[in-house]
Amino acid sequence: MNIKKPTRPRLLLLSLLAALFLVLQSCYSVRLVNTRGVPEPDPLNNSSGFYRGKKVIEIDTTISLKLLQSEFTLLEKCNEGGFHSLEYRVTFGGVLLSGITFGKKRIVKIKYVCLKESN
Amino acid sequence: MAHTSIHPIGTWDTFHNNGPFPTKTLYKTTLEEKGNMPSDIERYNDASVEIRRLLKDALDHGEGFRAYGSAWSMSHIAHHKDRMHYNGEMNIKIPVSAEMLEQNTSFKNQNLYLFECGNTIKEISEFVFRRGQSLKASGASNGQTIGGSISTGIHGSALDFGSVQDFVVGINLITGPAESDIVYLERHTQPALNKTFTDSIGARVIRNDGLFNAALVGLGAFGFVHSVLIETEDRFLLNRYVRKISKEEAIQLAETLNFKDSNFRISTEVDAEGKGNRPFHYKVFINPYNNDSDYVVEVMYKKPYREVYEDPFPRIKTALYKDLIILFGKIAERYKNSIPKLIKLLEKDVLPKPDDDVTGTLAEIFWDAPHQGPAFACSVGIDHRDSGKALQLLVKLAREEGPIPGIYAMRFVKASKATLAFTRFPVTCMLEIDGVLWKGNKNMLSLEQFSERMIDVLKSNNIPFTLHWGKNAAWSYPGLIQHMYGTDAVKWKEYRSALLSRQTASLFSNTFLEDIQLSEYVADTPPGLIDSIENIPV
Repeated sequence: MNIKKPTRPRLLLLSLLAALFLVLQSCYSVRLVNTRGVPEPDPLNNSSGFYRGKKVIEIDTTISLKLLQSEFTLLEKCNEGGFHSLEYRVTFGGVLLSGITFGKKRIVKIKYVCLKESN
Repeated sequence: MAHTSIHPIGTWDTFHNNGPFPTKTLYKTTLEEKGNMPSDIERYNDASVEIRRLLKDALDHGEGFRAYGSAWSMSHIAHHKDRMHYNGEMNIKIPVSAEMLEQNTSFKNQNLYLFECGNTIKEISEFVFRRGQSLKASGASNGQTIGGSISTGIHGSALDFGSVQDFVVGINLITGPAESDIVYLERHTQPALNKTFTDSIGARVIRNDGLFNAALVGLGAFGFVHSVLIETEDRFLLNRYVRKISKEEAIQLAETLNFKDSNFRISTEVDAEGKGNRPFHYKVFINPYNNDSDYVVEVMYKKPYREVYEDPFPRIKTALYKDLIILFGKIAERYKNSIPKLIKLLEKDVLPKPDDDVTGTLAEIFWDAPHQGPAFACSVGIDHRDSGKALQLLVKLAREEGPIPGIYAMRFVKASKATLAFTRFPVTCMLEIDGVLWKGNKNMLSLEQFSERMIDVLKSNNIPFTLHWGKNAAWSYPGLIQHMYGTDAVKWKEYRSALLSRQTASLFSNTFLEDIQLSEYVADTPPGLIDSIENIPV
């Protein structure tokens, strides 16, 4: 089979695209945990690490704001005790999207765990 | 009504990934909503009805049934191939009022609480703390449910108190599907709750020291532990110190527990003559592959509670990469000679930092322990006077027949009255080896082989020992239970057989019980063995 060797500009473009892809994937999360209280359990959650055995709620959405709106509040329901932990993820793509839309489109990636109901 | 969801899971695993184990079905019971049934007692009894229904269903289908909470045990003690019942959401909490007390009891109602099985140690600690109280001891962390804690005998390092089961003064068991199968056990020498209360939960009361002590560390085999009555004490603080001291001094303290005449002392923890105070807790950490002249030790001193003290929690808590632990295990399996270096590399993340002194409540000091990947732990109980010799032998085992990817530690616990407590020596040294789960191969000892060799070594050196019920061990080792417990194992089987029918004894058995040879049903138990003995408080 005759495979065409990529030309120098094409190689550069491919490298740039790969770099952009990596940059867009670059992200980090911040987790806030209440030192008090017990997380709501989920015996079917066999994931590894912090969330193992906990009931996790994930939010992955994009919020669009109207021209005159500057902020938003996400309303979520936990048991009487409130939140045990909350983790939000910051992605380069999210920062970029917010920048080019002047803050009108905001990517929201959140994981949270409620407190176990007290009886 | 309390309701139960049914999940055909196929396999079940422990919190620390010691499985997976084949399991047909997981049952999860959720209590009736408080708004629909505001009375705690009514909701508690409603849950009893649901558990009895589940037991009947299991019996009707000829299947076994095993309750579990947080799945923290690393052995297969919590596992059943048929039906497993998750009870972590059964967490009713009932503070005992003066009206609930037996007339001639020695307990104060302010110190007594009835906790349903699914309450975790942390939940209980926080609940009693809000009432000015504290647990008397806990394990090294707080995620275990109270039902699981007492069934497996979890312990900390309370030299002069004991393990979690040692503050339990009453146990409510559901031993089968009938109404008469709700039993409430107490010691006849330490009655606590009166008939008015036990009638309110529909329980048949048996006050009998022998039965109570047998059921206390019941290995999940005496029935469904619906709740336990515990005794708390006024809340207190622990001053925690971590120091590096010479190996000789650390071992001498372990063997003698004589802190008064030791050269080791914390300048602020001495008596009027300048001699060392006796700590609440003593722990020694040992890297078996390290030739340093010192060990890291952790000591804690009990202090009266005060409201103002520095927050013991660090602002930031970091964790290792999740995959690093798995990678560590893989490297260890392939290149066993790398283990000492890998342990050295992780030592700072695993061992407490010397001279990092903190003050906190029991619940703050023994706080959350997150999942950090597949882990193993072996833990043998020995008389603390044998601790130096046993440590030397088991370190030699790891060095000569290993290495294995783990570090050693020693904790010290006062004897328990429970028949099958592994803390059965006057002060038991729990010599533990914790680390990353690994698989053996032709070049490297497996965990199973290492566990067997530990028993061989202790037996051949005539060191009496026990094994932590919730940790990894060679549970099928021939004659193990007899060697560890002698006639107490026979007594335990007799009490269990007297309390249960042959059918329900089989219902609450599992492979673990068979492996350890405790599942046997004794048909001809001594007459009157489990009769209630009326109030003889001491």
